[in-house]
Amino acid sequence: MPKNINTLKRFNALNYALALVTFSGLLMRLIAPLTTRALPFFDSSGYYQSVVTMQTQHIDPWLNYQTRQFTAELPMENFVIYLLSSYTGIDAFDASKYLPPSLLTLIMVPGIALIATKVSGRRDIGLLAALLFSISDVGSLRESYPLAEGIAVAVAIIYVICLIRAVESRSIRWILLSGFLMLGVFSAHNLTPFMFFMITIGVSLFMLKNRLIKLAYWIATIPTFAALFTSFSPLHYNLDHNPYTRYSILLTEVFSHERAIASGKQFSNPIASYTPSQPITYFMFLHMITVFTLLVALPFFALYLIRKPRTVSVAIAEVWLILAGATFIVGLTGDSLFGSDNPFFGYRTWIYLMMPAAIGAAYTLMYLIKLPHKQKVVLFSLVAFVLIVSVPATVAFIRQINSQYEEVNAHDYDMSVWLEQHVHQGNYTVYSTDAFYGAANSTLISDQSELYFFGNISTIFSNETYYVVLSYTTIEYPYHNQGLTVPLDHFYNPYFDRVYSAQTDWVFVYNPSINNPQILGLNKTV
Amino acid sequence: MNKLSIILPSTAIALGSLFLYLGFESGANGYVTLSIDGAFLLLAGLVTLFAPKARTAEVDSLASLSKEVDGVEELIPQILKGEITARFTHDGKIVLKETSKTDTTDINANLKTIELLSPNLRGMLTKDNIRDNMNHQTGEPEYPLTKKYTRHLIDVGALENVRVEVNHSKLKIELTKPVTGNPPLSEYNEPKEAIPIILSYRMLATLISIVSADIHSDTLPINIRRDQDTITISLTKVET
Repeated sequence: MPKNINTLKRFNALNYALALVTFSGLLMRLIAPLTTRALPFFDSSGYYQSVVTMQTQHIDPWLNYQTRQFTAELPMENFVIYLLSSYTGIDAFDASKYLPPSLLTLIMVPGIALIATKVSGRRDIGLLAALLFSISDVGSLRESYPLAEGIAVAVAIIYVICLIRAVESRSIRWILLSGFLMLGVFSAHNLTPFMFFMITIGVSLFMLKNRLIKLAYWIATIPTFAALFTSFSPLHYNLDHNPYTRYSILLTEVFSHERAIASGKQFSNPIASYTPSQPITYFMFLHMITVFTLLVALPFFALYLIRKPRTVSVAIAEVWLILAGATFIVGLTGDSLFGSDNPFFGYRTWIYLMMPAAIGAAYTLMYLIKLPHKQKVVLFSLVAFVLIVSVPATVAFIRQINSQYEEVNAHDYDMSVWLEQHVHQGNYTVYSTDAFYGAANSTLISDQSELYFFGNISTIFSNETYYVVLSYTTIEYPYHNQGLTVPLDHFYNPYFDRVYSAQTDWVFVYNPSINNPQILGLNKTV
Repeated sequence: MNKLSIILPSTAIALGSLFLYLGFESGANGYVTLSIDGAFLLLAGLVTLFAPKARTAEVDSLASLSKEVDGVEELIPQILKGEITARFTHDGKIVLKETSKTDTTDINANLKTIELLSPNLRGMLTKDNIRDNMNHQTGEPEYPLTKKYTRHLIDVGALENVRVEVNHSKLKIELTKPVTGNPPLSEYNEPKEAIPIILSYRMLATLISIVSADIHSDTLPINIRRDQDTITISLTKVET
């Protein structure tokens, strides 16, 4: 008999099922990159461009990050794609296209299964939680398409597992490991750390409340080191200004009503901006799995608000659910008031909410097993029906959203081809003007003139000519809400010639030899 | 209150204030993450120092339930492994027979008594011990003290369940999913290695004392062993 027969036996049906669930989740998340032409084109933060810059210029984004040579939010994604691309020979474009969704699925689905198993004490319930997450649209959409999140959330979920392990075993080694992973989350994204920073603080306070003082202080060292790391490293330039200011702007706006009144808007349909032409019932159908998961997670949430969590993993899942839920509700309120203009739009926070919601929902479904046989069969067939019907609905939704972006981004793509043909410099692709900014800055313009950047418009200096690139994605959502308003009026003057025009993209030529004072003044008014 | 419970919160308050100051002083573009952490540390420090102690009696830390007795930490493992003969009396004491002086025949000559229970727990014991521990509806025995004490353990997440099984002169205490230290319990392969660390010896000894009080009988530990995620302590009843 072969020696490894025992290990084969141990790899039982549940493991195969988990592998299957992970694979189905991977398929779900690969719909977007497989069916659209150039996925990172909505890569507003320019990760792809930054990686190209790293490869051609050999500049370290960690040290040069505040010098505006890199536009990417935080450097970890750059490094990961750069390393993958350099060592495997995979094109940086493909790497940034396929890596985040793959990483998100392959780490998160088993991770959620593991946490849910710890919470419920049953492996089949863990599998159910993983299934709920894997067939949801989290990580499949452009808006929740996680470029930075794909890496940050994957690190974050390992962090949560280590945190549970650390609290359970009260062991310093695990706490140190979680602290290290927390630094990883902080160097990967700007919004994700906030969530997990607060979760850690919540867990520490929970321990303190239960008089586990030493443990509470050990856990408190994790956010403390993360905060010190953030403040006194290049991360400070991005992190300290981003999530917190977004939160404060949103809260101010929600409570003041000032902007709502000024814009003539009252509370409205929070999802109106995502589904401009459909009735809300159809939207609910498309989001069947997420609505179902959230509803089923509510009893878990309510139960452990009243009752003291039985185990550490339950406590952490509850803290996570409370924080993610609160952020989601604040985000949705913001959407309701300001549409998707709000700085912390609710749809994105769904990524953070879906993970604990799937765990909570699976925990609630555990009680179905204890029901009498007849009721159990009826309820389980109902759950199975919802899960089966939700898959084509979710796929339809993913395709629909992606085709909307594809339309806009196809023009970006065409424009980048035009630029390559007519401007003849560099090997670059313009996916959005913002993405282009990094490339323009580092590879095309050697002399950092103040002229190269008009607000949120990219300028290329080539052939003794300034090419000003303007894209719909720059003028519209989501940039104009961040104070990056494009002064369109300035293009209606004799010094700008429109040389390229597609439906959503324009290229103007500006000749600086005219030495127009108006232009120099323009830079200051932006 | 020991030294650590002063040092930890004072450090937290000092660091927290410093971080908050740095955050505020640096203005709008300053260290936001650091100041949030500072606020949290300050809060944690203040809560630790000034939280009303009376309320914490309900879910108190395990340490306050058993007394600090010098030398007990080394002694109890030996008792539990059966290396030292010790009798857990029904009124919450541990009576040791010193095995080093084997030549003596007088059984009462070398007795040493350890009082492990805190005044708090002792009060609970004297109050509840007079009660009849039989559930008259079901006819099953109930262990009110054990129930009360293990609820603390379950509340703080130290373990999931405690089951007491009395069978003539044999007594078994089963702890389900106890939280153990470093290395975790599940990593032990041999039963004899099943030495719980976080679920400390002191706490195990306290638990045996409580169970002894509950069954109104002195007990002698025979064996402690681990099976998957349960710890089983076997005892014999000694009629007094």
